Amino acid sequence: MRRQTNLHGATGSALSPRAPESLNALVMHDGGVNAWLDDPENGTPIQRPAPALADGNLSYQIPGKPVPLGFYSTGTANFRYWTAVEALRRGADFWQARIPGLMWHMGPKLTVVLDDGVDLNAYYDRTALKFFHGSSAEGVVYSGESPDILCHEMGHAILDALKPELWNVGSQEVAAFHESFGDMSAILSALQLPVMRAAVIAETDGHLNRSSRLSRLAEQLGQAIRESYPDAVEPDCLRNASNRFMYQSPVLLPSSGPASLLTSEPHSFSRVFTGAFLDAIAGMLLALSGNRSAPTDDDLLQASEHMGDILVAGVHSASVVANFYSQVAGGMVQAAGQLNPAFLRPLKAAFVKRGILSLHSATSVETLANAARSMVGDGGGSESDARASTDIAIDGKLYGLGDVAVIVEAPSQPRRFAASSVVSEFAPAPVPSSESAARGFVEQLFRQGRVDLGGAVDEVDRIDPLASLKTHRLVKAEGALRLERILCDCGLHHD
Amino acid sequence: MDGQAPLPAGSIVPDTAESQAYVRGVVERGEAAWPDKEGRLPRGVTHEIVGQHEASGLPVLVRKRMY
Repeated sequence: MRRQTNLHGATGSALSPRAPESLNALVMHDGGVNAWLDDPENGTPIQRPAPALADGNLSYQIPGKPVPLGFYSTGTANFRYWTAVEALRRGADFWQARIPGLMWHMGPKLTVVLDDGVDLNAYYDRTALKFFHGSSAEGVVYSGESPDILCHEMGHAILDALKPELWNVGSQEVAAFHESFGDMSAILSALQLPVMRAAVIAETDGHLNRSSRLSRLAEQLGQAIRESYPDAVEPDCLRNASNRFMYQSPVLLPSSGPASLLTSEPHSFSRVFTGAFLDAIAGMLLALSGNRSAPTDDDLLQASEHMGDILVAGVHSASVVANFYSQVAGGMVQAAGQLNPAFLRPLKAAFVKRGILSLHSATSVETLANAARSMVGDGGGSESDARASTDIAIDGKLYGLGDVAVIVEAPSQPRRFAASSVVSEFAPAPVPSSESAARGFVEQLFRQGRVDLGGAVDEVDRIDPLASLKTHRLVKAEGALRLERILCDCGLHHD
Repeated sequence: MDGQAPLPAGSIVPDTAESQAYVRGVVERGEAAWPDKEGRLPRGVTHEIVGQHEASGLPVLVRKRMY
């Protein structure tokens, strides 16, 4: 482990003087502790109020002799003890506020083993949270010293208390959601720290889904693993919630692979949902900030608390079925609408963009009408065959536009070659028809939030991200909406 | 099932396409194992093998850990 020094440059096992209050707005009445913000790799410890190991239904017990309260130096067992207690208490308090009365699966006290031997790992086994230590080029790494890892494992225990039926489900998607919940727990727990909120707002310029110390989880453990298995983890952390992984059926994915690929391994596949979660909370923050130039600390605190409530509601409402991601996402969208209509759009946009929810699922599911039928016009076929495109009408309800047709130019020239994509060595993908190609193109535009909906749809029904580069727009034309291109995107813009 | 003893509660039986894909992934990643004489599982293992499903040839598992 990299040698850390405390705020006064002290090292070793002795108690260190108190750190300056300026790093922490909280006033210490009953003493406090030094603790990491999110991960040891990120540097300077902060002061925190004395955390309670036992508190309500979500209490902990740590075997062995209790460590007296104090401001211990980093690199000591006493510091690791209190930084672990601080993170675990903070995380449990966050969830307890969302789910009053929640109790651990095994009872009121969850055992925490801070160092159970040599391994670069940590786990929850329904009796305890267990953490380990291992070697790295920079020294010994303790998984139980990282708030990210502590709050990830604690997240498993929270979800197990909230929805115990997930534990033994033989489903790749359910197992992956458990891992995602752990990472979401780490992110939401980190956001309860004022210093962390200020740091991430500054680092991301208020765009929370950019890569930051918040999105990068377990940097130090990731570094240690990378030394032995360079492709097993992200280049700068264990997992990064700021990612671009799209939903695919996990049944069709390989069972393992390098971190750069999406596989059905639960931690790998979890990144799809966690990525959507980060996009969603970033959108919620924009909504709460009301288009101010920069969101405030209070905006971010509110966004984190609301997201916690929304996530719990989504988990509560989700049926335990194969497509569990979409079940949770659907419940979250519903909960968001009840909590604050301004959250609907970012939630829908995030889940649609990742393919977790289909466009049709994300939009209103009121009565289907034959929008296209009334908008197509006379259906005359007088255009020249040489024209590269022809108009087709697509039901606007597919994109949340209501009872109106979207007129799209579809490619219609005769095919000269039987060219196709290849899905396997011997099985070419079917050549799409002009209409299906157009539908696919339009769906992709909507999924990526590239269409400026303008006044074409009510604000609460919008699913496009609050801040995204628009390449197309909808223009009203003879009772329908025509899709027009605004610009060509270079493809390097990331929302 | 060829096991005569009843399976533990919560056993994951690979009797559907989805559960077979799940169990196959666990096995391929080396995350399933029999317990040792003291009932302990090796490090890195998430599931205990408690039997075998005859039709698929895959093991029946019980989850023990979340990493």
